[in-house]
Amino acid sequence: MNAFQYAAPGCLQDALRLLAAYPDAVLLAGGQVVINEMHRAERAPSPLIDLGRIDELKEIIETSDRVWIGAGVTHTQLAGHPAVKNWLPALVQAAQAVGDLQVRNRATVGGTIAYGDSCGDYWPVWYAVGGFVQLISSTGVRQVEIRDWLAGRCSTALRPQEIVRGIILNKRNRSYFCKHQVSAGETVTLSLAQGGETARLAVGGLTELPLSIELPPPVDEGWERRWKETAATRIDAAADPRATRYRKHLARQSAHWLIDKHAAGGVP
Amino acid sequence: MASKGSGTSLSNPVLRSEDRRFLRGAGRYLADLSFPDTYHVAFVRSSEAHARIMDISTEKAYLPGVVGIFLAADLTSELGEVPMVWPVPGLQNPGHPLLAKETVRFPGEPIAVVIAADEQTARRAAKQVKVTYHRLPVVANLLQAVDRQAGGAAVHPEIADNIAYVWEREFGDPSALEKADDSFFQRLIIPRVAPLPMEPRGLIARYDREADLLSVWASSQFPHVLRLSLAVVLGHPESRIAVTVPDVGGAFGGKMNVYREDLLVAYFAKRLNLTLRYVETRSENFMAMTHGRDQIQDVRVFYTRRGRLLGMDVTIHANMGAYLQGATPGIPLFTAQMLSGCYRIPYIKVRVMGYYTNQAYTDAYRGAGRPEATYLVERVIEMVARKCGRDPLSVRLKNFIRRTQFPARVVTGLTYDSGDYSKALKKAAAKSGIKYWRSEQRARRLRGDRRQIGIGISSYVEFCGNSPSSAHAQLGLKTGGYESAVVRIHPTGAVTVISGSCPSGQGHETVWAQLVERCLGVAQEQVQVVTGTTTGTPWGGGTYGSRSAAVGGTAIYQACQRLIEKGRDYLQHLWQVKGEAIGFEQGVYSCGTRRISLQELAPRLYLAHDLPYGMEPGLEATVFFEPRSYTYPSGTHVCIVEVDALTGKTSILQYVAVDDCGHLLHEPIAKGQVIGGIVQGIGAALYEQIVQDEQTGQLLTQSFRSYHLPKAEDVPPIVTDHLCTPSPVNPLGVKGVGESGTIAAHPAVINAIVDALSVYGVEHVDMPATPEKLWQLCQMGGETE
Ligand SMILES: Cc1cc2nc3c(=O)[nH]c(=O)nc-3n(C[C@H](O)[C@H](O)[C@H](O)COP(=O)(O)OP(=O)(O)OC[C@H]3O[C@@H](n4cnc5c(N)ncnc54)[C@H](O)[C@@H]3O)c2cc1C
Repeated sequence: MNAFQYAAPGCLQDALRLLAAYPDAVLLAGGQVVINEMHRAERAPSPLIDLGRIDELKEIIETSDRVWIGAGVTHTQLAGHPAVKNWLPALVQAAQAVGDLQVRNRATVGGTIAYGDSCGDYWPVWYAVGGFVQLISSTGVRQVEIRDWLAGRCSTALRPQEIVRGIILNKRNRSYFCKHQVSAGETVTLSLAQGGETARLAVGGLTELPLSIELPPPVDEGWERRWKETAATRIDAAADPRATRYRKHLARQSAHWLIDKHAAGGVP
Repeated sequence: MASKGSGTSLSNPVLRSEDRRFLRGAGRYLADLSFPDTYHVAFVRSSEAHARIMDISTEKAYLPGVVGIFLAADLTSELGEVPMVWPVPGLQNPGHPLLAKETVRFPGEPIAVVIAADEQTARRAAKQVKVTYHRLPVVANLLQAVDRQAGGAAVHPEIADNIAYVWEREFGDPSALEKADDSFFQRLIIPRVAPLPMEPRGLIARYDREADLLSVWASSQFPHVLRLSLAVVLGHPESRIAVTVPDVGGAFGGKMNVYREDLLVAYFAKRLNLTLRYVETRSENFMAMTHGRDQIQDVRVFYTRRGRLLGMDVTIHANMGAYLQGATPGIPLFTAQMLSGCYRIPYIKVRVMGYYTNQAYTDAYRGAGRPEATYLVERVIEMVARKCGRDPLSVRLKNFIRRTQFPARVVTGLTYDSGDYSKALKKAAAKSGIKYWRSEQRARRLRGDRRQIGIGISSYVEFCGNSPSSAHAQLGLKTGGYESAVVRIHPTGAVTVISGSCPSGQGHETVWAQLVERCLGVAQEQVQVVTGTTTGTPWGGGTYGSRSAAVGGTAIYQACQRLIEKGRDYLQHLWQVKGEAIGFEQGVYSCGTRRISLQELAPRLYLAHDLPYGMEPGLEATVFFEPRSYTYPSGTHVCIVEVDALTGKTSILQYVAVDDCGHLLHEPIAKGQVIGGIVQGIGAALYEQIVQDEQTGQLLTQSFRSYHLPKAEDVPPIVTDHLCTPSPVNPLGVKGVGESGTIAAHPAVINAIVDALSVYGVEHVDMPATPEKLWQLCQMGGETE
């Protein structure tokens, strides 16, 4: 790798100042994407701004109905945190399904949000539970609804001079996740989450952006059947080159399993 | 466990001595070597599968630190082409230039050489070289070439129908087919896969103008062949080229080739008088190292209702790639030769057709042609059993060559040395509890379980001990098959063993030292093994084809015997007794009460004060061992799978391997080879395939992200066991074990999957048996029911 400038600011304000001062600056979180790009000489940052020393990004804060997860939290830290374990079990499962141990120990929530790979494992969970991406820039804090964040595979609503600060997620202790490997590097992932009257199923890997399926409130008898029908109809309607018969089949099957699992946990 | 009564195998194997170094991270691989004033090489590679080069602009690529950028036109005309040593009769060879001139013919083909002061600059500069292409129609895979689907696309305009050669043989008596009750046709597709050694390829070249000495360090399986190729292609005296092979992190056939990159790096080192270093990236390894397999086999099978296999009419379509590497055309001939498998088949007709495609070169990959043969025969025998409604075990037993028939000449002309195929089969069946699995299978079928059990059997035989040079001659291969060794006992009694075959991770150091200890009675701590240097070793063929023990090991053994004889001659004179009266055991000569060790003799032979008339001083022997025949390892593997019809996913529940590789020199090493080989076979059976876009020819699999290599979690527990029918063709009784795991594994896994899905009416599935493919097959079966 060539020589490059490196900065490790201790607070967000310093990071923002550096970002403003250097147009070719690149932010570094877990580095699992950035370092690889530098190694392949696809990026020559000047400087590389390491967010790893900013303590406030490493926090996970629980409020009465939400969980705030800092951008600097790694997949491993997330999966081990009591608030996440209690209130977002699907997210723990997703975190544990990411890549391998080395990747999970380094890659971060913020890097995942900014990288915006819509086929990544967190997205169906985030879509299903709902919440906001939180950003900070010199002009203040901005929040974007999760469903408005992704614009395509690896394309997001991130603006220049903005730093992802964290993500705010609705507490959903009844949430589920599953992942199927279809072929090398290709997966179909699903998540189901319910909180009060709202229930949502999200499917990754079928369409360019995760497919978000609102489910009717589980009030009357036979709600499981209606959920399954709704899921199947929406999945079957997916029109995308990657939505092959096989992937749709896997998605339908998995939707059934998740709904059955939910139902087995007692009437919601 | 060493086999009983062998006399030549050790019952107490030691740990591998090289692992101390490897496991501590102290191995020295090519990329670990550092020289002062090294410059770095990067290649501009084609992004297209087939295109005319309209323009190459290097303007923006002269970054600070760039020393030079060279195109095909900048190469001297005396420079040769990439050597090819297997001119199969009738071969249309389009040549193999070092850099693409007007046309590129596969994704990753080198177009220009960039030399810079550091690696990153070289790479970045290579990216800045702008090549303008005019796309040409592509032959994106073998099927397109075979079916002439490519819309008349010609990889080389002067070669009609992209056909490199046609090789035909008819073996045996066609009248045997008259007894057949029936015949069937089957097409089997063996996909293109990548060998993917953990350490990619690389080369460092340094030129000393004063001495006119070209020194090369390479991650290679055969330093001497590399030296010879450099001499021929560069026109440099072979004696003034020194090739050294440091530790090699796996090769699997991919490094038994001399590539354009190697020749160019050495050429520019000499031309520019610089030290040059090139270490390929993983993507480059995917693109431009040889690939393996890639055959389409069309088979007509003739059989009797009672399950006797009478004959096969086989057409093997084999993908050469865009150009020929060293042995590219010949690999499928190995397939043709091994088509009889473990069976007595009276008649085999075979036609091999080689095709050019817009793909990387194929060449040897672990097994080199034999996995393809075993796959064919073992799929066929399984189908015959199914069609006859018979147990695949009994059909195999019925057709096997019997123990009493060895040495057994099969219809393709080979003479198998030794074996006991029935015993291996029975042992494997017992060990894997086939009876239990059959009942479990029945139970699951009865209750319509979504997870079905399949039992896959694979009985294999292959040839190792490459090779009798006359066998090369018969197949038109322009190389010899022997191997060399020098054993030197120093005045202190310490021993240096110099072997022409050099390791790429197999454990030569341990085994050679052990072999010498056993022959000469010299403790291993006193034995130094030297390999991988052309200045320090006599000509060596290299390490490939599971030949090191049978050929290289025998050379060492014979060198040891010569030294023992020399010692005996000397003692005959010293003790004034007849040679026959002098015994030799565990390093010590004895006659009556007199005893002296070979190590004690050494200083006397170097002092040379009292040698008999005509005896040369010193204690050293050089042997070139020419094998008189191949060796034929064999065995049976049994694989138990569970296939989930709902997702199409396969889980291997159990894998048992019973192998007969003759005497074992070092059991843990043999076991490691078998297991590693099986894992590579499982990878190909379930996951791996090099894929290019059918329209554009773009390479879609150029990283581990898109190419699924088996991971730890994909590998089942593997139980190994062996039996031993010593090979009569070498004094060690060894056969070879480096490739048998891979050779046996493909059909073991696929037979198991087909067995599991036979309830859905599935009769065959091509590799890789991906979940999607299996799910679709279950769906189709479901519909027809
Ligand atoms: C081998 C491997 C396997 C993987 N497997 C999976 C998988 O199975 N499932 C899955 O979901 N994901 C997977 N990933 C992706 C991984 O989970 C992360 O999403 C990815 O590595 C990015 O996170 P990072 O912390 O490493 O980011 P970095 O590489 O540090 O940064 C990524 C990008 O985000 C920018 N960035 C980083 N932090 C911020 C910030 N706070 N504000 C603004 N921009 C920022 C960087 O500048 C860069 O452009 C895998 C990655 C690898 C390397």
